Amino acid sequence: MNPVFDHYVKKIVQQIDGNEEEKTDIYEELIIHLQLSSEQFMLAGYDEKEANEMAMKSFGETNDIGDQMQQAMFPFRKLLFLLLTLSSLLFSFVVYSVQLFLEGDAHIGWLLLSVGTSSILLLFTLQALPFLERKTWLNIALICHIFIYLYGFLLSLYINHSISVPLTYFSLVIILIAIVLVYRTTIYDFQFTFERKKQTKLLHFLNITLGIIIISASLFFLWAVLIFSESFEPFMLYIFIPMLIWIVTYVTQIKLSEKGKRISAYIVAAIPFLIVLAIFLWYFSIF
Amino acid sequence: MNKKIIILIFSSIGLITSFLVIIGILFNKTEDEKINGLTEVYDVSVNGVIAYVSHSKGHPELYIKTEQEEKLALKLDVDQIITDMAFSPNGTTLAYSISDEEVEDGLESSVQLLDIRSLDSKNLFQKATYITELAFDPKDENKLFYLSAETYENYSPIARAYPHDIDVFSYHLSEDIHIQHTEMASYSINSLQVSPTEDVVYVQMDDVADDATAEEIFEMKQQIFQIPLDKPEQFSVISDNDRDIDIYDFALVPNKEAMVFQSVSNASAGGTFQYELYYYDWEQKKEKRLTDLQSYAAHPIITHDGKHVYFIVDRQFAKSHYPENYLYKMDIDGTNVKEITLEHN
Repeated sequence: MNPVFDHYVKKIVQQIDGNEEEKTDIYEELIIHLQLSSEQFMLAGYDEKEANEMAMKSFGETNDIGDQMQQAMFPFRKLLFLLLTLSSLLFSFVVYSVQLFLEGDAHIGWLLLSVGTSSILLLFTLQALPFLERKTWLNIALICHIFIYLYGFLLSLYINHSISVPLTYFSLVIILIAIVLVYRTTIYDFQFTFERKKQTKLLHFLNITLGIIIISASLFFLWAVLIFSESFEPFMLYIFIPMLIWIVTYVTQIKLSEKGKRISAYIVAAIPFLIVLAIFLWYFSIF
Repeated sequence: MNKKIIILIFSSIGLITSFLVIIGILFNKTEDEKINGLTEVYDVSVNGVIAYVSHSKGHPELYIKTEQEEKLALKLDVDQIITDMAFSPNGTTLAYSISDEEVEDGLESSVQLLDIRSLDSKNLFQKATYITELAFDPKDENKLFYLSAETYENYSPIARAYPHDIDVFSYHLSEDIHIQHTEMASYSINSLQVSPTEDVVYVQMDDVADDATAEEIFEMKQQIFQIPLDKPEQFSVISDNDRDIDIYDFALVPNKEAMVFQSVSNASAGGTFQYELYYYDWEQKKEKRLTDLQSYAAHPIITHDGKHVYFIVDRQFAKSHYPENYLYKMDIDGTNVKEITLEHN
């Protein structure tokens, strides 16, 4: 193994969102390409060190190559992330200022959290954190981002001014983009054999969708209870039981899927589905 | 991307955020600082003098407005509240009730009497209950009726705290004695009015019995009741029994079997409720809508001659956490609606 090529190619691969299998394939292809190129330069009269440098130079800058490969493999992904982070930052600054000057409330904690998650996502987008395992951390950042901007949605909803309407829609667009990116990031991120890819994709898709419904319903009921309450009561935590069940069943399904127990995974997948069905039936029976 | 550009981008984000945090610390308002302007607590004397409570950065301030001027009569701490006020029948004094905003440490109300000329207050009495309303007896200015709540709590964890276990009392100024007129310990009683001719008081409350089922409580209506003081257990409804929509607040029209009341005008339309004022003649059982402000018209007070109605309009109703009240006046038939300018609103 040529250590110079190894270092050079790893820097390129770090900037790509593919799974481990895909990254290994790309790594091997690039190494072979560089070795062939280096051999040609040696045939042309260069010594080994010069040939290696010429091969890398003719291939290009690691950042540019990584960026181009990322764009080729995941078209519009970077654009979507840039759109999300820049619009989120703009939204945070505007909503914070409007809340401060129209309502007299400085939501400093929310401002710091929202700028924090937006900045982390921007760092990922600009490939400034290549040392982190991108997809896990991206998903964590995106989920935090969704919750923080749900609070931002409420902040814009309760502004007593006509600017509340466009800001509320703006927050919904941000949340929607973040949800789309969770789907994309999760469903592209699987490290299984080809036969299980389809099943894992399906499980992720089902669970994310059910999760969105369960979390939205839980937060809605919590909001409805809190709006009529004088203070927070411990019994209100019961509202989060469906969310807890969803998390446990999601993890269980993925573990079962990893072990090849397909039927068991689908049986477990039915539990959150039944919870969602029960929520719908109960909601429509009382309204 | 070039490291310098990345550093420049994140430095800019950090600078903007820091700037916003600093201006946030400088311009953030406390809850008290946000409480400003006219409250629903006001009264109009027989001479046309208006007494009203306005908040200034959370401090309740009591003003007296005559035709010539407006004077500050009293300023309280932010943790105190003026729950109600009532002019004496001849308009020379004003009784007002003060309670603590926070009631965790127990209930305590004090009723004061303000001399309108000197603006001096004297303590009438104090009571370990929550006094919600005051009304002088038009027949006897020595008699001050009041609604007194024994508890101030939320009956359910998902309900706000309100005064409960309410009864009608009177205080006799010269004898310094209190008389309890009812023993209902009612969940809710509002809008205390005293008849100018009979020994009768009128109140707004729920038309539900103490042993009502949950369904009955859910279906209950708020109506106007007449309570004869010699036989308070024989109270009866005087508002329109066939009216499906609740009645929330009312004022008696002097020398007539009629009242002006507040009710929702768009209950079946969906959306935000709009509260308007209505005129109801309970002798002829005729109702007429007086206002069409499509907002929140509340707390009607009818002038001594029965020709005009004062009322409060909250223009920010259901739009803001904090009301934006204005005082209005109109003729008793709902015409000539105009805003009364108050200097300290």
